[in-house]
Amino acid sequence: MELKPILHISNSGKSSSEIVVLPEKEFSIDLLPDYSAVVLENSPELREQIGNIKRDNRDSVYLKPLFVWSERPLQDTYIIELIDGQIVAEPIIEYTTRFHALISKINDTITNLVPFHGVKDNDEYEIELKVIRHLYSRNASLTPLRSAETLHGYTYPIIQAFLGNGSYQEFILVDFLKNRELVAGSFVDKIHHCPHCYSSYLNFREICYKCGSADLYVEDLIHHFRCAYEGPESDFFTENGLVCPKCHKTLKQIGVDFDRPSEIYTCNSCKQVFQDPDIDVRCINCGEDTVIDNVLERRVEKYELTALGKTSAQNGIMFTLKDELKDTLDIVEYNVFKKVVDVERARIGRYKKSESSVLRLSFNNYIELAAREGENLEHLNQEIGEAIKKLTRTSDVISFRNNTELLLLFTETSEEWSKHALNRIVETLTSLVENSTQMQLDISTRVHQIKGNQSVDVILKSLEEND
Amino acid sequence: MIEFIAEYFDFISNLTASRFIEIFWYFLIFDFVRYVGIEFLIIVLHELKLKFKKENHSDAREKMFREYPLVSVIVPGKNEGKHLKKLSDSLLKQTYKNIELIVVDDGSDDNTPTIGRKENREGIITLFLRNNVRGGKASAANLALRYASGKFIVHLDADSNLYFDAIEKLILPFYIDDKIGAVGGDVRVDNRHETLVNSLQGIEYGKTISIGRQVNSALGILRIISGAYGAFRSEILERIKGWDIGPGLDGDITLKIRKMGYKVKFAHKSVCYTNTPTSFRALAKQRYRWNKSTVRFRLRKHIDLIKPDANFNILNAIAVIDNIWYNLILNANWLFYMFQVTVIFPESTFFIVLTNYFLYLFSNMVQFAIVLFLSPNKYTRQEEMKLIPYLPLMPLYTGLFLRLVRSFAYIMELLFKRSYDDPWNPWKVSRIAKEEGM
Repeated sequence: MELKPILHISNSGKSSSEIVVLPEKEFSIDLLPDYSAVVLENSPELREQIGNIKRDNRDSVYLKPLFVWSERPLQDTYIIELIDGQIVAEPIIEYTTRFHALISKINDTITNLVPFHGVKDNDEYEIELKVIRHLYSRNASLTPLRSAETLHGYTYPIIQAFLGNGSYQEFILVDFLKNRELVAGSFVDKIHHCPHCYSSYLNFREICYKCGSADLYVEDLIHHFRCAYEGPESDFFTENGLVCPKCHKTLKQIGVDFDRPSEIYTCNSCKQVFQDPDIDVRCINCGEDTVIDNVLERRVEKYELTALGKTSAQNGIMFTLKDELKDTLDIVEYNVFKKVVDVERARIGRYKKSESSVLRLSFNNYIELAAREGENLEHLNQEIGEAIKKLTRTSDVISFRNNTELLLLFTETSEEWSKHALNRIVETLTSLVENSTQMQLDISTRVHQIKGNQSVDVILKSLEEND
Repeated sequence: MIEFIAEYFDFISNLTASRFIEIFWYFLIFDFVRYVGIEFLIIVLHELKLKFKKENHSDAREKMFREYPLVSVIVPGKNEGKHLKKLSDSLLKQTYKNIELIVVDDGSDDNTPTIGRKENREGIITLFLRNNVRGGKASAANLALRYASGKFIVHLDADSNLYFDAIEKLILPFYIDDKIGAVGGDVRVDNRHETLVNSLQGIEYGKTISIGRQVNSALGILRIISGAYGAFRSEILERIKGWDIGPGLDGDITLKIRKMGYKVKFAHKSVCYTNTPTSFRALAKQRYRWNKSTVRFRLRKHIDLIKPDANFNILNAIAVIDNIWYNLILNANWLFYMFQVTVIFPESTFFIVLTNYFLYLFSNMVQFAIVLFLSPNKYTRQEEMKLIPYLPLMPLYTGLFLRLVRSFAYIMELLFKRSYDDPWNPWKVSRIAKEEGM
């Protein structure tokens, strides 16, 4: 496919067939859909220019391959993360060949994206979708950047650009993507935030547990072996080195005639002596003091798109099987389901009159199905929901352990009958999917009769194996 | 069986007074006279004396409560986490309230630090300190002493707990007599019903501590304040900068205080309950350690007490001699006695042994009767009476088991100085002690 020309914003330089050079005052982001890529020149306004492009909601604008031309290599790591490449003092003509494949690939992807307006109520997912589309189009990872500029210690440049400024919202967003299983994370760092203002600019201090003062004096305790004297190091200070106040011998060598078994703190305010100071955290930003246990701890991760994430990006859809079935079925949260199973277990254990079972229904190739079905996925999900609803009773409880694993509690039903019922569900769903999609639905199941003497954790764990 | 009893009766009835003395001289001279006769006499005299001196006590008591000095209870220990709560609870319930509790954890690897820090934060323990590296009991006690602010220091074992008026009764003697430098309390067995060994120790502690030390105290020759429970004037401890390397650091410091010219007394009504070994094996290990320290400290370190020099004090000398005599020398003597019995009277050896058994049993019963009579309160008396069924085993326990352990300990210490290898002290400490001949 022939590429559109590249737009290069510069106050000097000549256009060619492949590159259109435009002075800055003539540039408008509305021009971008007509070009295959845009090159900006390094200037003090560069961040603002990039921000303007990224905040636009048109795929053909915010996803546009973006490069920066400069005399010297860029130092701003934030900008480096945002752009698709930098051009350092290269003549304009020459860089086009270098980036041709990349520009081509990105433009192909953009062209094939399903426009996301008009499908479901996706406005609330606007920025989340932009993020995964950005990753999808570049086959890139979402990498956190250590930053002293934002208050939060780390920033995801592309998210910051979409939001317009660095804020804690970035972390809320990545949490959302992760919970939805649209991205998978790998550990980068651990960071702490003030529980009041989410700032990471924290001052950790040891304080006196009695009066709260940070004015502490700490010293080693010294144990002198030969006479068993033990006291703070200051007891041993003399002009000639460390001398034992009890037997008056000079201390020679640690480990040989003395050692330092621990430390001791003295508060200079109230004179309290102790060994375990409290740790107080003072936020430099808002000035609030917090005890260390209340400081928010967060795993900072690098994210890659999952298969489900790629499908969602491609199709502009963000909902999940769990979301979809929520409309048709009465789904409870997993922690509630666990509690209900626990109560049922206790009831059975006490009265010994009933038989109830827990079941698992895993849609093992749901992701492939979703990838295949695209727009039709919503409809299919609805049908699945209706089918399950018909084959279960109002006295049964339904939950999801993750996006593709359905859990059921069949009350007053033995293991044998539960197996029957589950097989019916599986048969119904399999033929439903096959008829609609010509795809074979891969479902695995497990049934376990609840025993009163088993803990709820054991019961739920037993669902992990397959029947 | 009947024949045997008949023969035995024969033997007994054929014993004339002189024959009796000839065969049973050992029991008569050493055990009966010293431990039954003299003790009984002293107790009677002491009780009479007390009856007449009651007004001294109420004066002293008034003075003590008016001044109401701070008492520092210091508790060094390792891996006694499970006993800590009982200890601190018993201190909260004391009739004497002006107490600070300082606990030093000497390198525990159980839940002691967790419990200790929690109680520290709650204010139950005044100061909780921990040595991450174990230094030994003496250094842990000295660390507690370093941060103690009280006028009196009570050293308490971490596996012990106190009767509700123990502190009050322990400090009172200091106000009766200015010259008293240290006071020992009555140590009893807390877990006396746990195993047979504990019950036997329960009786033993009654004899040797409750009564034995009362007698020694009355005679002015008390030579040891139990490490488990004792009180000291803090100015004295400050002067001598606390304890020296153990084991036997309790006897060591008592003798030091005597050497300084102070009196050492026993407060019979101040009751402390301590945990004792629950198996014969563990008990043997403990006594082996204690007995070795007798040689190391009484014989070696403080032998100067019996030297007739400028610092000679007759009571100090008697205290040491009595200890050396009854523990060291008589032990050797007993072996001689047993040898004599088997060689000179071989045909009656068994009867002699049996008769000795009955004699010692009688002696134990008399001593235990004294223990019951002098019991500090109704509760302790009730508890003591439950131990009566175990009395028949006491001659075997004291005469055979403890004696064997003691003999072995003396040999090992005298010949091989084994106490320096005892893991009771960390090796880094023992090494220095050995190098410097301490």
